[in-house]
Amino acid sequence: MASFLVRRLVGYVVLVAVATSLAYLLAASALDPRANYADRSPRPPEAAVDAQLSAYNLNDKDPLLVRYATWAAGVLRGDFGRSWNGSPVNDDLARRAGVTLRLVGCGLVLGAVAGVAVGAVAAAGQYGWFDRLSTAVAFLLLAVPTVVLANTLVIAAVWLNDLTGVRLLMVSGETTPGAASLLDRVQHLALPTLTLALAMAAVFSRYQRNLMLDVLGADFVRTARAKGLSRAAAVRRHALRVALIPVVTYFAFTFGALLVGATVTESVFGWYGLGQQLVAAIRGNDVNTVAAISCLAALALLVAALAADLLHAALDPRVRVA
Amino acid sequence: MNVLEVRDLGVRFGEVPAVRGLGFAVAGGEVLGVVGESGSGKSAAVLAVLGLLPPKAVVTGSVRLHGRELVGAPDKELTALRGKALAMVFQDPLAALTPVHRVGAQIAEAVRVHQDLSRRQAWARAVELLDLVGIAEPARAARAFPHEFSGGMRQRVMIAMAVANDPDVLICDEPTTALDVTVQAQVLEVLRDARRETGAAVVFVTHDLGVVAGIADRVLVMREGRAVESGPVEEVFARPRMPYTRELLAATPRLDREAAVLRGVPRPPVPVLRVENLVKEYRRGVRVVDRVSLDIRAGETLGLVGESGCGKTTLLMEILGLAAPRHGRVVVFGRDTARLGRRDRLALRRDLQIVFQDPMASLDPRMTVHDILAEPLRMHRLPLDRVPELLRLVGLAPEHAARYPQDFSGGQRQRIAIARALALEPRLLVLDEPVSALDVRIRAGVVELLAELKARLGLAYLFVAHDLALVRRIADRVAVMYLGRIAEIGPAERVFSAPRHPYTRALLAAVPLPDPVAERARPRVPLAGETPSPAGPLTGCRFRARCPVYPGLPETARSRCAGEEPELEGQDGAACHHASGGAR
Amino acid sequence: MTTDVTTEAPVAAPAAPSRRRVVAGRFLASWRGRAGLALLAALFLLAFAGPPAAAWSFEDRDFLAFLSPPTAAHWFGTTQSGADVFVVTMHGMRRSLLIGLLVAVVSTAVAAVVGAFAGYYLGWTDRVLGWVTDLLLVLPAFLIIAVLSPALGQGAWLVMVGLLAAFMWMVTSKMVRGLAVSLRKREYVLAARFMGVPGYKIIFRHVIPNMSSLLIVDATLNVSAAILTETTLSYFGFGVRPPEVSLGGLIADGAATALYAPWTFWFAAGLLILTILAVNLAGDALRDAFDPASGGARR
Repeated sequence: MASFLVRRLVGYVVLVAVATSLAYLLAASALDPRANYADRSPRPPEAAVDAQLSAYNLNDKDPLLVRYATWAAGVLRGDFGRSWNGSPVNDDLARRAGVTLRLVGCGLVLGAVAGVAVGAVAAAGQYGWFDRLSTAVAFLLLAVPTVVLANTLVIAAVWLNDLTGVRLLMVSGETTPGAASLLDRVQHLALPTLTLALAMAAVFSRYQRNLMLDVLGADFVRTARAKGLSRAAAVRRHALRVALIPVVTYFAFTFGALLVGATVTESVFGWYGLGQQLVAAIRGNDVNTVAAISCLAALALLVAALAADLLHAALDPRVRVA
Repeated sequence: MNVLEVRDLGVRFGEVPAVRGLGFAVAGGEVLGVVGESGSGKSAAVLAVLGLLPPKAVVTGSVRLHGRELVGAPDKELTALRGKALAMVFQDPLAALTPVHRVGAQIAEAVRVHQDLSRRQAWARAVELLDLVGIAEPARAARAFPHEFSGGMRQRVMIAMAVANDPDVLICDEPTTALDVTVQAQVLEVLRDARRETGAAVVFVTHDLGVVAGIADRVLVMREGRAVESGPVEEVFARPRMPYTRELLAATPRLDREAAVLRGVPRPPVPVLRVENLVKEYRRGVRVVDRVSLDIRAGETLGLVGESGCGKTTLLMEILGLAAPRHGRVVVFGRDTARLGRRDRLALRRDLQIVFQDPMASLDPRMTVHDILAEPLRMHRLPLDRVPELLRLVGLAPEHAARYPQDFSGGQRQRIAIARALALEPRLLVLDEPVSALDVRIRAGVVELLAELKARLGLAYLFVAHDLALVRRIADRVAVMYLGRIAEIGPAERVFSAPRHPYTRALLAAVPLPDPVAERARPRVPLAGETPSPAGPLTGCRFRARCPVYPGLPETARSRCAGEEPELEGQDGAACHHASGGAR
Repeated sequence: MTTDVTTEAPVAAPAAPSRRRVVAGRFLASWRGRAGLALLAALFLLAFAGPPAAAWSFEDRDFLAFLSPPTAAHWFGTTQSGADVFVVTMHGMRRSLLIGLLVAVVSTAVAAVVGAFAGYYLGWTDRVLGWVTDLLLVLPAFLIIAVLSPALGQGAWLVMVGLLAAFMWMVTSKMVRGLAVSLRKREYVLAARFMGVPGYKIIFRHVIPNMSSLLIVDATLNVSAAILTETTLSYFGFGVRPPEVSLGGLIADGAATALYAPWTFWFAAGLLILTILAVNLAGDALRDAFDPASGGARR
């Protein structure tokens, strides 16, 4: 098991390295930091721009592979380089990663738990009122893009605040500047988290429902019933336990979608996280920031995949021996 | 005093009736055998007794347990009875155990549902029960997961679970169908013990007349959801009253008196297939097939028998792959497969074709019968007008070519598979368990067809089967495989009447005879254990761990078994240091 | 021993209706199938027949009505620049529908071929293809498309289709591979191999056709996934570029004015939701129709 995990880990690290390198090469050749100087007035002389860009390892007149080597050497030392205006990329990264992590973490845990629970209950009473209701809601949620969902929640919150005359839910930023109490944080966190969690829950509930339906007819559930277990106990102790296994694998696949969802959520709700920074960096031709964020995204995916592997092994004795 | 009484039982799935007007009664300590072919409604009937059919099934009639009506009883009441008064053993013990819980925990759960015991006490009871059903080192085994057990051990666990609460009625639904014959004999023995211990009334559902003859007191024959005939087992087997029962009995091959239907006419001994010291390794050192040698002559049938895991399927795949083996040689029609070019290999495939076990899986469901039969013809650029002729050859009408495999019954599908194999006019046909997925009466027809084709086309067969009675009916010569090696080989007549290897003898002794008197008169000495993994260390004779002869040997003889691997000499003999020359 | 012939020779089963018919029948028997199909048909009709029926064209600006609510002249109202929301929305929907369909077809085809080859041949083929699949899974798709999109230039929506498809086939291909691994041991595949049929022919003749149900269902669901991804990209301005529009771009524009001019946001958003709902309903009904164990037969 240990050697299996080590092999897995090495494979993932190689993948992340290759993926990050590709992302850098793409960003370095597609984005144009030089354009940022063109709009300045007075327009700086060409030589000065070149010198400036070269100093930040951003000059498109330097060969791509040389820039890549410089960048890669920096990354290995833990330095993601400089932004086009000279500020180090590393500066803000940790704080922004924390913001995104809080958002994604809350949304994921809430969404996955709610989704699995709803899916399991729906499957146990297939074609009952709960099944029908949850199916209808899930279908609706799945059809609503995060963009629309987030904006709808903003509109609804503004309406609710107007109606009650109290500022119940905040729709902009992480905290109210100067009044950062715990309550204030929760008021800010509620809607962005809900945005992510609702979409996650819809996906997970459909998935869990189908898995449960496959398992409910399995022979071992019949055996549990033949032992004298009530239907509820047989479903809980045997069917649900087995149907949880594939969900864990699925978890890793949803992670990428979750990061995109976080980008949208941060933009709509004005959170200064990685997603928001990514969009700004692409618009601002900020090659090194884009590469740094892609590296973090790949790393996050790696951690998610590894966690899925470990959870899978914890849940399923059949893979432990392999 | 009848414990369980069933009257006028009916089961419907929607509009389709599965069971109609079924009635039977079982007394404590009695075994009722319920026999029928697939689709006879036997499983639906017993699941209805337990109230475990899916909700869309409609159950009518009456099921009384100690006089208490179960049909229509509230689920809460049934839940209290299930596992306590009514217990069940299912067919497929891998699917029937929850893969993620330890075996001991699953048995302890059955105990705790009905008895007020602590976790620790229930676990201790689970270990006790594992011991009772004959599992070695029960304390350690209880901590294992189902996938770590062999099929026979899993079925023992199922039985332990069923008898945990000392049930009044034990229902067994094809409990030995998924098992090898020697393991089947062990599990039947455990079931006999369980009945003796619990004094339960047993309902034993099976399609195998031999098993019923051995275990049942009374028998009930079912067909299309109805009871055809019932009575004491000796009477039904000796003097069946209904034509259907007679037909079933006649179609069941018997190991003790089987006339060959497929013996070849003597021909010049031209070898069509020669395998020499063939080895197939999965990982380094794990030999699934180990130095196997055999040959087949033109127009001859070689029966290859062995239990699951003996390597017979791997051997077939090695032969049919026509690739150069790592070790050993495969010579097909005089051509060494190690020295074949791509073109030669393709040409050689015309002479060597295969028919698989499962007629459901061996025909592409998305192709019409015409396309299925045309595929080999197109591949080898032969005229397609042979298709109608092929269909006629296997007893089907040319009009059937436009249909899909799903439109045919199992026996007909197997005929299509045979027709496809014959399309290229092969001289050697490999038959991998060609009839074991079919019902017994259909089986007889397909075997007949194979005999006829062999006589007409002069084919040679490599016939792989685990049904020894069938092999006795078909084969000219027989090879018995055990753990990757050939244990015994020789003319069928000789191997069946005077087996030399202890394994062959045990195998033959484990096959139940469809005759209650003869079956019960036979001494029962089930072979211990199950086929070990080929990954284990193999020194000396690989059968000695299970060998009934080995423990009784003198010390010097035993050390020879342990240290020196017995080799097979020639094409008639046994790979055993102490092969007996004579009686069974 | 002639029992078999007498009980068997006359074909027992009547000719079963063809599989396609059975699936179609079951699909149409479920309300989700009917609703999804009807909705999709209506949306297509609207998207392609709607704009010609309106009095305004895509380029027209009504300088007499900026940000006007829905009226008889402007069915869905107008935008800040006086464009007719109905016509613009229909144009966007047309583009979104086309992108969704094309991406789904391309990505499912790639998934089928890559997965089937990896699963059938195993060994090195599997390792190389599996590695490429994993790499594309690790690459942040959103980021890459966003980075490349400014470089695409105007009207290159077909390139966008290619990019979206390139990042959408991996999960399906893993499923296809798993199925192919089990199908390669299926006896009809072995039979074909033993009669000398080469591997690539077996893949296209036996392996891929026997997963068609998975592929069709997956393609359907990929339609909605593609539309959603394109919407998100467009929202940030990284999707289809002007003068082309898609629903995502319209939603981004409308979100700014949504609070005081709801028509600029809700028509585009609502139609997008309806489109995806219809596709998902149809996909789900198709899955049930293909799977004999589901629907009525399931407990």
